[in-house]
Amino acid sequence: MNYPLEILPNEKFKRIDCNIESYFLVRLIESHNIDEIFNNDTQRINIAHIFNPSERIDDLSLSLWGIYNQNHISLKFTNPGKDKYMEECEPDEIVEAPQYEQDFSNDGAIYYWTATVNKFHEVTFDYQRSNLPLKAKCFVKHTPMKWNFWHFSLRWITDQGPLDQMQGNARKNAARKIGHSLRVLISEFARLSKPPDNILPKECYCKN
Amino acid sequence: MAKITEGRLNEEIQQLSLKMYALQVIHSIDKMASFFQSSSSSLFPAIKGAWKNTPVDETNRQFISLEQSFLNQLKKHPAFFEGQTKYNLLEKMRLATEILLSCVPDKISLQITEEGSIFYTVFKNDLHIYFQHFLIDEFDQTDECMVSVYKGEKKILDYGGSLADTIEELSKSAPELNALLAIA
Repeated sequence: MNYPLEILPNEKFKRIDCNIESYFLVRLIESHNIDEIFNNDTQRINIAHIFNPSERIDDLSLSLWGIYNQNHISLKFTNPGKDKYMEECEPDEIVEAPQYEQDFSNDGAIYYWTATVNKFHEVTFDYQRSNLPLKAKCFVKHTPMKWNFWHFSLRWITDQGPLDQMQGNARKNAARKIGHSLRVLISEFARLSKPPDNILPKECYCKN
Repeated sequence: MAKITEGRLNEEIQQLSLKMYALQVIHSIDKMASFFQSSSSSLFPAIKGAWKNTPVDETNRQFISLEQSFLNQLKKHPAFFEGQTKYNLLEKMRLATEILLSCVPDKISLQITEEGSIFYTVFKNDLHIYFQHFLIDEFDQTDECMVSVYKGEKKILDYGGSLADTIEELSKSAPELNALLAIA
């Protein structure tokens, strides 16, 4: 199996500079069991499959749907592959293609949730009236990685500074509230269905 | 007279603390009653002081279903609430569940989370209530709750605090919106 070269960074690429608010972000769900993933009663994705809180909540990984699509969602990296490719890079970095089995495989995962960028970008959470007040704003940031040019991150700025720079109890309080808010946001707006195949115009990510 | 062991004594203290904790949130139920009065007045014929659980059949069914769901999840993920007794967890779950069920929701579900919380999803008309109850290993007022409420696609509340405070904020948030809609 050859690695899909269309999702690798490329010397012709630049950081995406168009308005992508109506485009879809996707995130893989690792479970293959739809009964575990979806709650028929509430018609919502079970929160355990939205994200794992043991991951870094200050930098949640997503991909922009379009050129990155269902053919790529089930790519699974080996540990050596993760060491080599799960790293942020410049959009135009020349990357050697990952090797099947040595660096990656395909685990056949078929479920993923999707939501448009504008459901996250610049969305604010206001817990000012709470016992431990906090105001936070979410940003969708294009963060190309060596394995995926179409990789995006959710980042958080709070009234006490960026989440990833906070320490101690202040960070714990902020992370708990942001974790709750993010689950709520995704529960409310994310869907399991395949999004429309909107391909970003080339001028948005290709150098002149 | 039977000797009281230290373990037994601790258990008695925990149970007593939990009852005191329960009493602290009972007053919030009155406010919840007014919040959902239009559709649940029959549930609250006379709430004066002590809470009497007199749910309708549907609410009863939901309660049993949620309790069963909680126990099943707890069995599957015991590590999520490490160090806490099943009795205490169940009592806390029952307390919050009874309060939330007092709105006679159209739909309600719960899921336990790795951070030691119960995450409730509650639908009532066009209100979507997401209520997270962190069950920490203490019996004072420090159990933390967070609630977010959407009406349609509009968020009308984010709040975090004690269970009692969070329920109070929740009960205050929706009547204001109802009044605004009536004026509109």
